[in-house]
Amino acid sequence: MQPPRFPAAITNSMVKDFHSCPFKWYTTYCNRMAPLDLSIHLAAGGAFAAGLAAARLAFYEQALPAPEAVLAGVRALLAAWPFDDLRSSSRKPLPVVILALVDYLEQYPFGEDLLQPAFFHDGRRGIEFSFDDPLPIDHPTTGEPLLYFGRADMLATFSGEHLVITDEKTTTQIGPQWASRFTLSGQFLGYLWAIRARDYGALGVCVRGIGLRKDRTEIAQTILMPSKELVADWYESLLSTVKDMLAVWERQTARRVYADACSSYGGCHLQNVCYHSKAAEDLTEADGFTQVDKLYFERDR
Amino acid sequence: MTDDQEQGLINLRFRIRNGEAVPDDEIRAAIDLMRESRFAASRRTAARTVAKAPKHSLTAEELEELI
Repeated sequence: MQPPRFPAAITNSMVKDFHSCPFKWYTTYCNRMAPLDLSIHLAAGGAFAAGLAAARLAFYEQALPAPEAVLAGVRALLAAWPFDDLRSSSRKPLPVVILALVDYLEQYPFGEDLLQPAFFHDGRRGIEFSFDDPLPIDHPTTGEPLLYFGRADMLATFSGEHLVITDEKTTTQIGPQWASRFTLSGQFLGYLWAIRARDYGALGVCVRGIGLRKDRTEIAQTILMPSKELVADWYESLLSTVKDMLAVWERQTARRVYADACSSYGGCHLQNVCYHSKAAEDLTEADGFTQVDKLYFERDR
Repeated sequence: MTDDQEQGLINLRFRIRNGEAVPDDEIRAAIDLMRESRFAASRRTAARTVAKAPKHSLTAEELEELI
């Protein structure tokens, strides 16, 4: 087993995991232990995003007619679907995810959607963009500046004038509180920090929710317009969290938090590990884990 | 979807992942099949919901007693 490494880049997921349980953060991002079983929630969201990006590129970049662009999206979704059988994904079945993409593109047809992909300064369409911007804190081993990494679905114009970041989120169900969960979301504050630093003057973030129901697709939308002060405060909080991560790294040990994170979102993947008081270094494939060389955001770089 | 239809969808996925140029018509047909199946399933759910609904509402006397 490789010794733990402090990650070269920080992500919003990492920050969330660190706050919910430092042991989860350390095991996942420093020890790089990943569950052998794929998460259906992540897989369904990833396949939907791949399909939507492909459909948008087909329509806006390759100038395919809308119906063909939708088919290009479905092809990409199928190609991105990681399960070889339908039983593994029974909680978010493949047909449900495919129809959600088709329904979404009927609800928001390419040419008529109020959101249209904007252009980056270099002339590219703003479909799927990622950033990794240096933070004023150095990596504990390499001495290089730590990076903050994020990836959003689209930089778009809203109603032809306002620039917004757009992100589609798949979920099991869109409840009455769906929109409120994003008001102080570090993920979107981070997107705005990154895009405003590039001089785009983005007004806010448009979040679209796609509820993957077996009998229908639920679709909702909310627009967030955080102030500059809020984004600045998020940034200070981020730096403070990174310093706390470094302190944990220095100690080479992370405490477990026996609280909500253990059971939320269907249960933490480390639940059994903690129940048996196992150390991250002792995990093997028999425990359902494998050590990965690259974290999810390092694979594309 | 029936087991056969689901298997057909998985086969379609394999072919696409293997780089085969699957014709648009096949993908359109798969989407139509999924839609029909979802529509049929939602009709069955609606029928079950109606079947479970109370057969009688309270009479005026019963209501008055409750109040």
